[in-house]
Amino acid sequence: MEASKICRAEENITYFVGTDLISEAWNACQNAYKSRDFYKIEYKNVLIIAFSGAPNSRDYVTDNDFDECDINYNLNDEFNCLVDGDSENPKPAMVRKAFLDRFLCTLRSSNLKAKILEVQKDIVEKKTIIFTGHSFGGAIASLWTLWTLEKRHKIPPLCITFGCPLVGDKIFAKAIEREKWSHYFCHIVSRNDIVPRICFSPFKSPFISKALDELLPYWYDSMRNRKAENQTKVENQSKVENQKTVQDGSHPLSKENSQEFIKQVISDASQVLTHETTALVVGPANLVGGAAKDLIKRSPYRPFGYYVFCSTSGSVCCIENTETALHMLYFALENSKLFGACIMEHIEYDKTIKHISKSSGLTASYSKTVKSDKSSADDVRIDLQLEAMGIGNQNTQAWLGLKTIEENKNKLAINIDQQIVKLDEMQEFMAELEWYKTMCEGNQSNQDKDLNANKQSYYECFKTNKTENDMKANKNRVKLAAFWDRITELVEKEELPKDLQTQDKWINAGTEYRLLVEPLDIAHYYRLGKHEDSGSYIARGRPRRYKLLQKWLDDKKKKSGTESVTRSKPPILTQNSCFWAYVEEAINSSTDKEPKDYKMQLENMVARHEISSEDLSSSTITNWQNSLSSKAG
Amino acid sequence: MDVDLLNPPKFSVGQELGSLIATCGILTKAWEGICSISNNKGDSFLLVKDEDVAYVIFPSFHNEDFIVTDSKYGECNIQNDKIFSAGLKGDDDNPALVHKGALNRFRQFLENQDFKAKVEGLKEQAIIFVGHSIGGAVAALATLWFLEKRLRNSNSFCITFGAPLFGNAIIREALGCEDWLGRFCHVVCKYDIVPRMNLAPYESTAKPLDAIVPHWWSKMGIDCAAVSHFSISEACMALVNSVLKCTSTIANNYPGESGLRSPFVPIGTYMFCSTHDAACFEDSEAVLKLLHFSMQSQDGIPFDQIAGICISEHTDYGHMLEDIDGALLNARQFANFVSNSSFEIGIALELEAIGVGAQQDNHALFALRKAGEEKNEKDRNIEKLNVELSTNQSSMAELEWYKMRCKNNNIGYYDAFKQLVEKKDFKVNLHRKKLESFWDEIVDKEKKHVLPSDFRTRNKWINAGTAYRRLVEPLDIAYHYHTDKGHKSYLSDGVRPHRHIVLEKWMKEKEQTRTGGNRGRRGRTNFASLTQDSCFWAHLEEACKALVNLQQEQDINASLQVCVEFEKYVGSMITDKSISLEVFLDQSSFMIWWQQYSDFQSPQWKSSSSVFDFMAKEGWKKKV
Repeated sequence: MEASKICRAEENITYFVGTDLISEAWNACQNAYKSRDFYKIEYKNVLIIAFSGAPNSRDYVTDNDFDECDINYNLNDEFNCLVDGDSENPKPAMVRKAFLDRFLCTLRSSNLKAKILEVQKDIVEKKTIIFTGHSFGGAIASLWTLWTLEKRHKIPPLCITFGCPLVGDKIFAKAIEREKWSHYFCHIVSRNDIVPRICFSPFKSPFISKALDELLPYWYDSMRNRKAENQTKVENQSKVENQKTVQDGSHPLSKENSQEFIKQVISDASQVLTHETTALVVGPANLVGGAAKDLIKRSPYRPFGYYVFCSTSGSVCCIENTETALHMLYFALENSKLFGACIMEHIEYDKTIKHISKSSGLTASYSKTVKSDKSSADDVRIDLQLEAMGIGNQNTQAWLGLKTIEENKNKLAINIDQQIVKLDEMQEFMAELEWYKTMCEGNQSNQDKDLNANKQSYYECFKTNKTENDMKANKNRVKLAAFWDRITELVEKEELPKDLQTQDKWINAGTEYRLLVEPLDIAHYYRLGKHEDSGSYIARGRPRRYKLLQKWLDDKKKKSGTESVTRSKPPILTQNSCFWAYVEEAINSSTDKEPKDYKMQLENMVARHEISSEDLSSSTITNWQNSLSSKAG
Repeated sequence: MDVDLLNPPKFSVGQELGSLIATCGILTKAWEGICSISNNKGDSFLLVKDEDVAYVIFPSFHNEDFIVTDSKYGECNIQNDKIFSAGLKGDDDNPALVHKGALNRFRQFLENQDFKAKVEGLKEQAIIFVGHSIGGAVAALATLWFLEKRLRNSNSFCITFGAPLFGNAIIREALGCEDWLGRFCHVVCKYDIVPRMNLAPYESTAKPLDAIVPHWWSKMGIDCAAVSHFSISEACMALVNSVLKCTSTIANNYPGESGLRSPFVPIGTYMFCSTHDAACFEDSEAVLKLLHFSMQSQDGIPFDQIAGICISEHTDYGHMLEDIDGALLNARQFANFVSNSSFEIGIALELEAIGVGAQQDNHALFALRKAGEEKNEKDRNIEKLNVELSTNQSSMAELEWYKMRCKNNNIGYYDAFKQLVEKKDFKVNLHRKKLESFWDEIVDKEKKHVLPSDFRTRNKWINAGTAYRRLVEPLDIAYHYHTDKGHKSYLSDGVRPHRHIVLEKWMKEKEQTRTGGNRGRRGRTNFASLTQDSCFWAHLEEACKALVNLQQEQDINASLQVCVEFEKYVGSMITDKSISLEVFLDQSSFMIWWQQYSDFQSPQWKSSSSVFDFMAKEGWKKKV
């Protein structure tokens, strides 16, 4: 299973290579440098849109250290699913403002948006869109890809970048992984290229800004002066070009400056890396978890999508896991410290692409035998990856870092397997509770067919806790609570796969559980008078598991875009699982002003047919309404 | 079951932590502050603000801070000055002890009104207390003092450089309960003598210190008479010798000599630094051993040279930080892997980083491995208990149902269970036993320190324990009076089960520390469903006995006293509605007692007693 995982990234590349897409994309990127914003070309059944990596003074003049901003700050929630946290406390994904601004610029000013929507609507032609870009253009291409993915059309777009800097923070990267979009992004990185790492450093810091002042125009000029109309020409031209640069051998930065520049990036990157490694283990009330984490300015940016590293020697390494990519970004740079190459490789992707097309199918680069006495497949794979990157498995720190990631991943896989088995076991308790509900409501209506007022919902039955059935139901409630609490805990500790909450299986099971059992929890809460001790259920007593499960469902609804159809009939289960808590509060606080709010809420729910008929006709509700109307009267 | 019992520990990230802290800039800023104080020959603290962090920096030391007069290792009781809350007391045999010189110094700062007002007025997100040498111990005490205020708006941390050990195991435990240990970070140069110094009795270090302290002083930029170098190196040897003797005893754990051990222990995270790297360690015992092992030379440097380094490193933290920063870009490589386990490699990296070396038979390696395994064990224990807690909830559900059924029979579950006649009563007894053994196990494990140190302050466990105690202790009381027909009071010494005493103590401690008290809590409007004082029924039983005595005219004064006290007690519970209505059920033994008691009392009493009023009007039937 593990092995197949790593192959996925590779197959992705092989596919690209087989269709010449990568070199086409690279051509388009070079052409983009001559157009104003972007360059468009159709190739077979593919529409390639390339963005120019031309620098912009805004790129490195920043307000805050890392120039991060809320991804939706200037948009109407276009990036919906990139928000983490709950509704009271949303945690939006952060992206580099300079990139977002340039994306917004193209989104609003050009006809590109219309064109994309048009292509996507065209079901007959089934065209694939590939966004691509070199350097900062890669960042814009990434944002465009994301924007298009959010529209969720049948044919998803692809994104190929060359030497693209980091764009978004951890929430951004996590969201992409959660939505299973990682494989739409392919970042091609020349092993020593500094630009993919540049966002680890604050652009404000003197070494960085001084270097960028000189390098950005230099990179731009050398890219613009190339000619790349068609592929054969490119090869010839770039050869000449490359020879020239090699002969010149000079970029505008002095040796000392470039050293300082790169050292700075390495040291900032190491901060990010050690922080990520230790965050797994160290608690929040720690000097490291607390002060060092929040107060020491450290880059928020993390890699996302698939990475393809190419070394100058021709070996290619595909990385699917973003944490591994982070390690590779750091260790490859730290390991070599070829200061000139760091700067020059950014504009030498011609070579890189040639390597990739040669290495078609990556087994070639892995054929190098690595001496290893380690038995586990994981260990061997780590060795191979490090070897392919030219880092070497003697680098204990790198090895340990990758091993940690590996072990973490295995842990998640084991956890989810265990929980799936348990989820099945839980169905039995759910069935018993369903039966309990039918019993409560059925009994009542049989005995007192004519007396609506005496009807009892299962909520009320449970609250009185009179019969043995009630006690059994309580036991089932407790068992289910233990299971879902465990799930909540694991999710919060990030010990379950990130895509769990987007799987229909889990969303449905969770919703089913919430609708059926939360009324029982509310009944339990008010039966024991816990609202006297700690306040209303909604404000203080609602278990975290229900909040989480509700969020899963809300997120899913948000994504599907369509509001659920308004009901015409009452459902079998009340759709708002907190209904009874509202009722209890409305009754308890009938002396204050509050009940109006609760009443309003309740009336809304009734109007939307969210309340089951059993609940509505139950005695508590009827009595309450009678008392209200008598008061009003 | 979720827990795989054979899981070895997975990670050890001390080395990564070390390089993270060393290079993140906090330490450099802190050290700059210390230097600027001593350069200005300042005697007061310094406040430096940097964006959202405030550094409170204490001056290094005075001559007299090292001098100890009335104790063996320079310790004193923390309660001497009433600076700290009673929560930090320890018990009589085992008082909480701290470094006396540092405590005196800190008291002087507190008496200086300026300090208190300035620190309490800080609005920054984080406050970092910083100090070097004795000043470091002062900073640690200041952090403790600040943490105890429990101000919500700012985080406080402590960074020390070459500080002596500042407290004993009681302090460490108290901090562990609150999960505060991670807030202390002690930076220690590999050879620096001061962090080990008070492991040795003062008498053995007094004389060499006389010569060395002025020497340090001049190094820190404070003028004093020049000291001849000859006497210094003599003194160094003497000091290091006597300290090493003590640390080796501790590190090798020679039995029979534990009584002679210094009370001081490492508290918080220790960051050991060598010339090229740093690593952090959290386990107190492991740190204690490393304090010894890291002082051993690895490279065959002669002893007199080491002795010199031991003294000079104490004032050399600035250089050390520079060195580590400079060495950052060198990848750490091992020629030979020690093992395949990432935990083992992690330990090896840590030891390499602090220049101890990771040979297979290394004591330091064993100490760290043991610490890692212990921590792992704790995590596994708590996972196991989590699972057991949820299975035990179904016993709780049975008991709740029992309570409900009894109530419907117009008898409280206490009285019903006390008779112990019906089959359901026996079934309940089984559940009671099951829960009993579960909670006994927890209390026992907590005492043996095999659970995470902050276990008893975790909300989840406090709440579960309180729920258990309130529901089940009445049954325990009933069982007690059922079997042992009551010569011995449940409330007398040694009868009440230990678990209930402990659980109640945990709850009370937690309530004290909750800031804002009853946030968002309305006063009770209805009577509680469970009497909040779980010992209510025991009090009642004693009142019953007293009443019988009264009726038989024995011990009249004492017995009347008991009854009146009990009446008052009930009265107060009625006022704050913390008594359960089940007490007033027709067949409740309280009602029987009340009947007899009110017959016994005088008519004047009837007009003055609020409880009588309540009972006469049957106040519990009123809907509120």
